[in-house]
Amino acid sequence: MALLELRDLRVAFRTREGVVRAVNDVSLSLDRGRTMGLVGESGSGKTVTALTILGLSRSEQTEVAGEVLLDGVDLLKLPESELRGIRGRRVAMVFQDPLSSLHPMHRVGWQIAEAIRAHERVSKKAARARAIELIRGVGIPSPDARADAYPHELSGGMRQRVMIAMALALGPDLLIADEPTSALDVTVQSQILELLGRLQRETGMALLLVSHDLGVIAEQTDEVVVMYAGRVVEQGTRDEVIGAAIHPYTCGLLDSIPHVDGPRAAQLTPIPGSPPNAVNLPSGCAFHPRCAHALASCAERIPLLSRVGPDHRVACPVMAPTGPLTVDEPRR
Amino acid sequence: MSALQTPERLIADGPVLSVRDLVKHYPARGTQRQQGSVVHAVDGVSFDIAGNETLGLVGETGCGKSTVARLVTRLVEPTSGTISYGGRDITHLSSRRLRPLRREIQIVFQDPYSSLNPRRRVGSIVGDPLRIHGIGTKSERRARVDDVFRLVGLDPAHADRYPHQFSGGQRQRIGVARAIITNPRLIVADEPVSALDVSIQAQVLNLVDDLRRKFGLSLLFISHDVSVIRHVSDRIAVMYLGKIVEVAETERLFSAPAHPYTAALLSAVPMARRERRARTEVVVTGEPPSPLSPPSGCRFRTRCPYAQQVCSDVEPPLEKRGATAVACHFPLDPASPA
Repeated sequence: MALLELRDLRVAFRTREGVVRAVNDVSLSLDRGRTMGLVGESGSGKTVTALTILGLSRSEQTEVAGEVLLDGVDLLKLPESELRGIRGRRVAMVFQDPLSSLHPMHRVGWQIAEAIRAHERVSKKAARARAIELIRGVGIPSPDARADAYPHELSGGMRQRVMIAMALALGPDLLIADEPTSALDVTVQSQILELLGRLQRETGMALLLVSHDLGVIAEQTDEVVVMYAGRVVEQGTRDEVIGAAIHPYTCGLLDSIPHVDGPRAAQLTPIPGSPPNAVNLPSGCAFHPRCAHALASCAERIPLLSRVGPDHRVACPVMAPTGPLTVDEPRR
Repeated sequence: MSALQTPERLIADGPVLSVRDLVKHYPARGTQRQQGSVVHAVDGVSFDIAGNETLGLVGETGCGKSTVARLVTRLVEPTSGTISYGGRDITHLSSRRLRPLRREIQIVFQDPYSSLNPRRRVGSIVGDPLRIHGIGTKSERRARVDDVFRLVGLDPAHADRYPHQFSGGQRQRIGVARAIITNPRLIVADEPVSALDVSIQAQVLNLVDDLRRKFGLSLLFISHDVSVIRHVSDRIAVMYLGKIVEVAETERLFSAPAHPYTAALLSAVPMARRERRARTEVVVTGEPPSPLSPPSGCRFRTRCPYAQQVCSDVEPPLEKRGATAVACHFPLDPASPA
């Protein structure tokens, strides 16, 4: 059984402007020890998907449907009190901005110890000792002294290391990292990505990496899920999706990025137009107004994911016309 | 006035912009201010930009690249050094005497949200430079605004709308329209695409490139994004902690980086279309030191895998080595590119 399985996840927010359909029929599955990248632009629903796994998008204005199965248990059906026992202990999360995720008025060692004591009955002293070990484990020099630092005394990279230490405090099976390096410089980003890779090998946890950066996703993940306007448009192994992209949106994203190696292109090939408003999505395939391959039929029916390779699925009836419909049957 | 016909230029040849030993120190904040500490934001930067040339300025947070943008456009006063435009020293021109030059040197900012006044119609924002410089009659100005709207790919019918009615990419087009409306010679673009999604980023990069070719603009293009810099630049200057550590032609810089920091920066960029490789090239540890108290000697030495004693004793000057200018005691061998 997969560690994490989303089945037909839908999230909609009621707002004054109308209902925002942030996530629509998203299905995916992630095994232990694997890394999955969730990639898309602003408003594609990638962060809402990640937040919903831990019930962090729950509110009176939110409608959630579908299933979020962690080892077969549907987290959406759990009451808040039970979910709290899963957060941090089974599934932990690292956010983009460590400065706003850490409490500014407590020492970082105390904050990590507090996370441990929230879930386990251990003495303050033992919790602090574990916090220092965790700080050491994420590659912060002189962990004893650093445990007594306040967040503002640490650099951006150090703060993100502290967030990772805190996330790993209880040995989660799954780490969800939402744009963990987007606020960092590239030389620091590569250090943090390397750290995440090493910790994953050491602990065997699964990693769900949410990012807008295809480069980060390509270098760090085994499997890739591409989202557009709240739907999965393409998914598969890294080599299938990045190396042999089929969906016009994925191809468009790849062509939009200037490259650091290879010949310099005289012109980039941008995707025309801009992403749609989630209150008022285009009919049929939400990408069709920006798509060079769109047919009249694209505006009529929402395309289902169809299988084009061992693990490769594409939601585009024009570029991937064959293959059985597999929208109801999550991968593996 | 007829839209974008090239007017008489001030200078025939020689660099459009020439910057020598530019220094900007800011007083430190808080308790460190009393101790007289200063932030060494820009610490002795020199470069030239030729006509029609795009110089890319790349570096990480806090390296001083945005301060350079503000200095060369005279939005902040330099602590020392000179800025020459078309061979004329403009470092200490009064704002009144600077005004005619402002037509020729324009800036595009990073954030298309905060750089447009939310309470004004975009047509009047774009037309502002013409009004300020007293160019044309009202109806001529209106026609010119329509022209540049079309040039940057916006519908002139939308000139009566407010900034919030546009997407991020469209707003950045408005920022570009405002910059080109006076037919400038030099545009300073400070992270112009960093706030945009990649699919939109490519649209704006292509637009800037089109305009540059069409009107023979010189461009100082500032970005932290190595791949964007590579795409737009003829030549690239790499900044680290207030100093330029390397300058080279784009292809040269990428094929044979000479400064260890350049090599580290290039190898740290994650890439989509490439075989996954071990990050073993030049790996740097740690993070940049504080510009409040930069290291002695070479500022990169605290993170450099090749640092020796001399690096902390003697500051390496930016020197020509073949086709590259590099500030390093032990530059990488171009024969064995990193």
